[in-house]
Amino acid sequence: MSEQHSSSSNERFDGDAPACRTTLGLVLENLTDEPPRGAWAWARTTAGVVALLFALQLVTGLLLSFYYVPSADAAHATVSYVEKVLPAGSWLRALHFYGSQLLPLALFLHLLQMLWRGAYRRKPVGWVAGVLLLALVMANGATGYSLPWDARAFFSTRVAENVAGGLPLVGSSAHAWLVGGAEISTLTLSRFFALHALVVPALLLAVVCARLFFFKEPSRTWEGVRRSSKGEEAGHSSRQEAARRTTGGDLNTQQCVWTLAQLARNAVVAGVVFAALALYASKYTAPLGPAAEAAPPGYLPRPGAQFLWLFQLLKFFPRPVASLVAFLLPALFLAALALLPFTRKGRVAHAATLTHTRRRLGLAVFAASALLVAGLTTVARLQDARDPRVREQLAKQAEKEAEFRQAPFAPLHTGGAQTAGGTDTATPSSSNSAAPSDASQAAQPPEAFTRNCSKCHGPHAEGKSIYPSLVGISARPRRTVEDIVAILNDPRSYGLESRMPSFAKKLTDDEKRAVAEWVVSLK
Amino acid sequence: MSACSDRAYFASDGGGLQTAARPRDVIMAMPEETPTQTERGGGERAPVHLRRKLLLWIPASVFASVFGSVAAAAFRFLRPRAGEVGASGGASGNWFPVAKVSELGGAEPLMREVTIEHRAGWSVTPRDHAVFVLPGADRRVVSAVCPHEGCEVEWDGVQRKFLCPCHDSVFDADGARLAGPAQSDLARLPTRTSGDTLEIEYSDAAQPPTQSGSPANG
Repeated sequence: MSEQHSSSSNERFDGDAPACRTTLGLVLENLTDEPPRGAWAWARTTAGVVALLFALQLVTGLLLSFYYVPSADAAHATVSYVEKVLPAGSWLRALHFYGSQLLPLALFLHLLQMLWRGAYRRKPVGWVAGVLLLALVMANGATGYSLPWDARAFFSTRVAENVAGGLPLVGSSAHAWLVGGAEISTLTLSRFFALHALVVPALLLAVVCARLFFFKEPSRTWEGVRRSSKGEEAGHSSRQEAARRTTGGDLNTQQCVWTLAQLARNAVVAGVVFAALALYASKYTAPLGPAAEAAPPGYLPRPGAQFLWLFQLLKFFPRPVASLVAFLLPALFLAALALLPFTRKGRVAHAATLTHTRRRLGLAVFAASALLVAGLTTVARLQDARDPRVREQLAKQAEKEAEFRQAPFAPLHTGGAQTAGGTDTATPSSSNSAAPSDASQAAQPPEAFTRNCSKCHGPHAEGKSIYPSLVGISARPRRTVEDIVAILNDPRSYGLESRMPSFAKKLTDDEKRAVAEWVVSLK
Repeated sequence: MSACSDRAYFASDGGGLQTAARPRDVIMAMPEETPTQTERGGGERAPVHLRRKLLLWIPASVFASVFGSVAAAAFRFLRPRAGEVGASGGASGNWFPVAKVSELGGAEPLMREVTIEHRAGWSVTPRDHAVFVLPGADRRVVSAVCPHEGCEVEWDGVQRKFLCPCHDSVFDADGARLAGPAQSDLARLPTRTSGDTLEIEYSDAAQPPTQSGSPANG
């Protein structure tokens, strides 16, 4: 930096032109707060940890979705396939699982340090975005818990169902909308998957994008510095532009170097967190028990670490109250936080007083929730450890899980109904074994059918091996006589497989009609 | 990292810059990480550049190692698993029982349905495949699947030929192609006798692919 003092209007500092011109630069500028002081620079690396965990959840979730199938029949098989067979599967799943528990904690700490530094005042959008992210991350943790469809997942779904169903007024419809019907079924799992993998992540990304790209919250500190150094200069001549390009502003350089240094600090802390998480995930797999159907009687469900407090809290209240508490308490906490930058309590004389009040309010909310969560979690763990019956049952469950984990992967036998042909056609023909005889009593197959069609479709059109039954096709898929005639003339136009040959020239029109009428009459 | 424009990061010429009093106070109040060397004047540029490069290297290397370890896992995780897709006979490999040796010996080809388990990752789906055990001491087995479009051929005892009902391909009693749109013979399947049981080895590669897929209804 030069030691010269500026005399007149400064041509180099320019509040309009940000130091960082690329998109990432603008993002960084948006994220940049005041220059750090001492250890605070390190405390502020919670941002990097949140970003790391968020990215990690997205990537690992994306990878898991390559194999996962959200159906009550297949979900557990696909998750155990990932867990037991696929290389790196259990590591990726463990990253996703433990990451989902760390993310709320990281966001909580992030909000706490923002509150402590007063950053929520300078950057209200960033603050509200943080609160929204916390809410969405918790929602995603709750929906994600159902997906493996083991006993733990099933009971977590049941808790969500009960909480939603116990709400006053909207209870029953909330319940029906959540589970997709009157009771938990494969539809519930599809819904939870859609929420977990598509809806909530889309909202999360929307919040993140809004925070990074739409709402500009450039650091006021730097702005102020620039403005004061810029003076009242207004016009931009091309000469000035050229001068700026060749020389480069000192303040901009300073800000960029500081931004880089802070980026480096964030990277260091995030790297340490990742290394720790990666090691932990390689040593401790994410829990997976036997399939939900195999849950032993007396199964004691226990939620994930981030929901243990809620689980304990629900024990204290009868059902309708519990639902309200489970909804209202987190909602109140998040609303109080989100509204913090906008509170204006009464008539406050000094800005400093307002700041103090807000900070105290915010800290009180944080302290209360931290105490509540930590206390309830401890109580939950202590109660489990104290009660010998519970302890015994939990130990038994853990043993069953270990047993399941040791057992080799058992692939899911997808049933005969979907078989390429044989059993598919066998099922209707065997279940309707009376039907062909009824049909034959009603009308014998026309000679043209026996001669041309029965080789594949069977003497009574009951189907054979890979060839479909024709019984009931007037009901499903609603074939008419005209349809059948058209199919005989040109099967391809109905999308039938090429094994079905055309009979346009092999049959006369009357024969086609006779065959079609007989086939449509089959029920 | 293109965090900032070249102008800001790699300004090579800082000489003659004018700095107002207030900004400099802020700059002086910066923590150690800011390159204090810059304030000594234009002569000591190199350390600043080194420092900036170092600052870029830290996030870049952290990003690279996180990305690298996850990408390596993702590669192994997503790599197609050839061994787990296709026919599987469970414990006995790809060998499937077709008939008892004692049943054989007739003059006509014997049609048999063999249930083959098709494994794909986490799922196993049984499918029926029709085969013919040809008469003769060598107990040859041919697939009943027409190599043309995958229909199942039928034995015509009068003509002593295999006829495909779909597109009129014709094969002789050994399964060799005689006429029709099919371009090859009926597929021979490897056989072995295990005790009293004749077994065939089934592999997807030897079969026309048309056996899969759902039948179009009606």
